[in-house]
Amino acid sequence: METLKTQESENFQEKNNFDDTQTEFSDRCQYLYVYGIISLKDLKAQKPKISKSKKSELKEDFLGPNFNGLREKSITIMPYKDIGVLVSKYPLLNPILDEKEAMKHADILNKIAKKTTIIPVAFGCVFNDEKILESILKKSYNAIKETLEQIKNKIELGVKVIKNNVEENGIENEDNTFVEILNPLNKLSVKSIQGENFSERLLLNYSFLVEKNNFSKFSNAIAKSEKEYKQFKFNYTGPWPPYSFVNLHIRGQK
Amino acid sequence: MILIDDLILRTFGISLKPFDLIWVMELMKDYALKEKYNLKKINNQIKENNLLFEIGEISKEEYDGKKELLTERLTTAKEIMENLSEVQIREIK
Repeated sequence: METLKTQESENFQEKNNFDDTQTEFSDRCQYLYVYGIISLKDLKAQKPKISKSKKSELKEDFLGPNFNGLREKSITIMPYKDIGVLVSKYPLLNPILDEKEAMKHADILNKIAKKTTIIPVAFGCVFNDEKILESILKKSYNAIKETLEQIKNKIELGVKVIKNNVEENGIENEDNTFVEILNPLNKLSVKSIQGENFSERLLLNYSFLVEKNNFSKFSNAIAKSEKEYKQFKFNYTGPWPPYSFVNLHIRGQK
Repeated sequence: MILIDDLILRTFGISLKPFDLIWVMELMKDYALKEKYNLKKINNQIKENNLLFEIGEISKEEYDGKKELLTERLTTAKEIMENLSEVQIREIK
């Protein structure tokens, strides 16, 4: 029986082109990679059975099939009181910034944000074990609850207005134009934050926190500005989890 | 050694033409280094490259080429920063 098992595992490794390093790698996934924090009450309203188990798998019930975390590890909820942290196993305590992994992290958060309110955590937050994570949740519980309440049913939308050409832009009332574009958007949002002015081509770079049910109104306002100010290019992105509006910094153990 | 000699001479108010030229060249080199390996500036250029690609102003080839060049420059700049003293880093910032 044991021989059969070994043969089977050998065949499996061969079939999947695995080598010893990869097998070792899979065994080494002992740390906890954090994606974000959600409200279990909100989740319970959608899927009552999730709260029954201590570490329920989100894969089937919440995110759908074929949906894994980084390094294809299952995403689970680590509950604390009425909040839950979305985690998956990870092999490194200090992840190296990798574009593909960062994109996957963002993609996972986007998918979760479509289902429930989530406090997004920046890429690369890894904890040694559940105990450390739990002690942080204990300390930050009130702040987390407050943040979840503030961002509930809200989305982040990004707007960049780009000048066609810096040298020949010839916009006399650049400040006025800036205000004329920004004001209606501010009225439709709960909050806004100015982004970094990383290019001379940028006239405006803002992130807006918008109520989910104001999303189409906001999009219409952008379309209207686009028609009115044809000398500019508009870069409208989102909806995103509210990264820019979460003033909560959770850090893994370094 | 040349730099020390030049500094000593300048302390005594003595200016020699060849040394002045070296002084100016060193200043220019410093400026060029600061410009080329300014981390914030390179990061901004990376963001601008992404934006121009997103709005369709540059092709995928142009985007990839510039991205590779800037990423390489960023890596070099980080290495240079690691080898510089804190005082030099403050000057660059």
